[in-house]
Amino acid sequence: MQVENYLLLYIIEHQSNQSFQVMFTMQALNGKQLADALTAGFNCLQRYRDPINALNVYPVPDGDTGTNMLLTMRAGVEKLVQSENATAGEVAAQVADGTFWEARGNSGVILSQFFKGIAQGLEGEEECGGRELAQAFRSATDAAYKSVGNPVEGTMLTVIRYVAEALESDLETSGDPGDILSFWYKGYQASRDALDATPSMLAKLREAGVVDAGGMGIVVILGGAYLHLTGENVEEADLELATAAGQIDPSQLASVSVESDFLDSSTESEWGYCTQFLIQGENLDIDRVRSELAEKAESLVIVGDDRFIKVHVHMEDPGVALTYAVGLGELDQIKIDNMSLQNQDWASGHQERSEPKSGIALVAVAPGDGLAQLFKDTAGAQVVSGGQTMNPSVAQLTGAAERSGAQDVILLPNNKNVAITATQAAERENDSQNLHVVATSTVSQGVAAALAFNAQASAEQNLEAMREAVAAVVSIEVTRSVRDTTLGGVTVAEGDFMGLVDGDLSVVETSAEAALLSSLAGVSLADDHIVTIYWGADTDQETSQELAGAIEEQVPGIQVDLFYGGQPHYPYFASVE
Amino acid sequence: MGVRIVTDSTSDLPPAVAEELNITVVPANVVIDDVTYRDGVDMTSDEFYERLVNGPRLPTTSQPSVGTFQAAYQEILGQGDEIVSIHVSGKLSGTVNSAEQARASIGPDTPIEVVDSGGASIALALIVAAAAEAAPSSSSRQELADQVRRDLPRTSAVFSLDTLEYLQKGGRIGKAQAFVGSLLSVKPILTLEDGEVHPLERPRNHQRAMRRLVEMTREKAPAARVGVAYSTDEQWAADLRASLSDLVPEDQIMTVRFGPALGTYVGPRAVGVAVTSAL
Repeated sequence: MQVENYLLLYIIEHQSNQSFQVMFTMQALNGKQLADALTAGFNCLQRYRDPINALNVYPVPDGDTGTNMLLTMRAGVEKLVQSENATAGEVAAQVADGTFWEARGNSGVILSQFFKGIAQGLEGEEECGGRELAQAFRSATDAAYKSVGNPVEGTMLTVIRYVAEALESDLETSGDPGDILSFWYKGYQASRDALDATPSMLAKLREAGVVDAGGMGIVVILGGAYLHLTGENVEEADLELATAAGQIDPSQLASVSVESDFLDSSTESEWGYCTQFLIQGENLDIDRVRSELAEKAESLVIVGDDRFIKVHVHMEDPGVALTYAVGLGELDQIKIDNMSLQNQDWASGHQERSEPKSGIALVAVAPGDGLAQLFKDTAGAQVVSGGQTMNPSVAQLTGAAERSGAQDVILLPNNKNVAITATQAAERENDSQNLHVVATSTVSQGVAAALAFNAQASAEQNLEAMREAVAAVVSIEVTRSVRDTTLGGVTVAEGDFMGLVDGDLSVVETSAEAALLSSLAGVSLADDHIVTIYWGADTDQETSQELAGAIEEQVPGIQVDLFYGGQPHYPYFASVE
Repeated sequence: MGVRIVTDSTSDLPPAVAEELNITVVPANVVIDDVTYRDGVDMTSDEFYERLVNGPRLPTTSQPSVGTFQAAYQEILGQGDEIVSIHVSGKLSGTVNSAEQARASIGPDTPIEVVDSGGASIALALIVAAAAEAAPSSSSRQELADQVRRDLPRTSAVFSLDTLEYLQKGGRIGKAQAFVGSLLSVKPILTLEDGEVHPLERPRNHQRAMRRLVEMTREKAPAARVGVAYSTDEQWAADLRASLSDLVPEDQIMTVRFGPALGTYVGPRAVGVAVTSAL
């Protein structure tokens, strides 16, 4: 009956003339309808991924909020078991389960907790009516706020809370939620109001002239679902979202680059050949490549611009993709893996690993090959590649923990954006393994912690020694601003090199080397200090050696160690201890 | 009839101390380029470290032979004395076995007690010196051996090595294997726990390692005995003595040099501190 009502409503709204009154209303969404609405929300998120990425307020290249939310939610939508009979509670639980394991970055973790709260709110519910929706958003708000250590207003948390409060207050005033469509619309509007208000709550948004990226993700999901419920085609949706800088047109924004490591680690289906390659050419049409390959392949991830396109597809015959692509330009970095075999390998290896676990091990997140090697070498760590722009998922961290075979595993996120994922991974239920987190927010802290790690000591002793070591390190990060901005009152021009000391912007210079030297000057170096410099993928050994020489000249007797880190975007990481 | 103390050359006991306390030191063997040298007898330490660092092959060591022990024991027994024979950790060396076999070969009721100290070098030296000082007032070898065994947990040692290379090549790396990583330079601090090499910390340079050795030793205060050991840098031993002079008077801090048996494993530029806590 509900479905018929819904169809009637649909027909009345869209096919009849506007003077008709809506005669039938829909009181609640059944499981299938909720699943379709959430899928539409996901599709809309996909459409808005790049604009959300582009909203990064922090002027370093970590514009991946949209990608993180998308990959997190994709895992949720993929969990949906297509069934006409699923209840609303079951559908919400499926989405929550999927998002939990693939949650990436702060926004992804909050989104996964949001869905966990929604699922708790809808637990046991056959359908999702207004009351259930309000209840779900209340528990989603609680879960989302709980998922971060220090909730900050003006973020996606605020957006979620506004929705819950709007629905609750409407319910209280009217006593009756009425039809679900208009009730959903009220929630959606509240999310938009909240999003508009984010710059007034958070100075760094105001300074950058943007709204909160994660908040926009929530608006987009709710908006996509709403448009679907009203029968609109989400594929072409324009939610008419705006920032202080102007209207956002989802079709006008270029794709942002995504690290290849990150693509390697994306969720993958489990059949056929995982095929990756780079197309190099001129006037490449990325949208056309995307749509033409989409007809032939699964798990399509395509990023790039008009000169380089990175393709990651799953196909039964990898030759088809290569033949197609070779007609467009030069091919490079071709990598083909047989995923069926990989899965068999994993399955057979997994049985061995399921042996009783013992001992203690480290899992470290490292943003470059040199750093990965360093964590393996100094502490025998299982390394998950990732960092500022490529946040690993909960499943990647727990997978690495599992591979270690240790009973106690200490996670080193080594980045502020990964810390919350690590915490989430550590909180999951697991009878055979204890996960601990030493919340390292920089690579320098991570290396200090890894050096303090001792596989012969207990977990408690290690946690204490590692935290002590982390506290004794001053971390410096040098990166290049990708936009003109103002940060904490300091004006930064695009292309400037910024020196961050323990995460705070400390100096702005015109070269990476000057930024590192100025940052060090602010730390008041003494001759018994040890400075360790990890030079990045875009720097070279010679320049780094000159830099080390300059520091040794400034502070005679000081120890300066140089190390190849291989990290992208950051010419230098450094530590002073 | 008294009780005499026998130890082996891995205690690195200075000859003057051995003589003063009437301790017999049985030499271990060091093999360099197929020639066997008796530790502390046939080769000076300077010669040894020169060969260790620059020689084509790493020296190898072997425990004193049963015969060497037998001869040393027979001489003491011939004077009518009993023996407490205290040796390097059985997990690091077969010395305790040689000593036991020598005792058994002499006769079923030979008045010898063999004690596995669980330690080596300066830690063993402190244990042996304490035993020798207690010997005159001890009524029997069993009583003294029991006292020595009871007091073993009071003595501990920490070592800082310049490199784990020698420990690894010599096959004695034990649980310090986890510290073998070589990408960042560190001066690993190790200890002997249950007679085995055990990793503790990885300071980034020598100064910090020295500081940590002192701090770790202070945690054992009040101290009855303190000793320091070095392989090639005597000044470092002097620095450690000065830093620890508030625990026991500086002139009472025993200084030993890692001899060839231990030197093969700790390598050049190693230092260590041992402490026996007061009761």
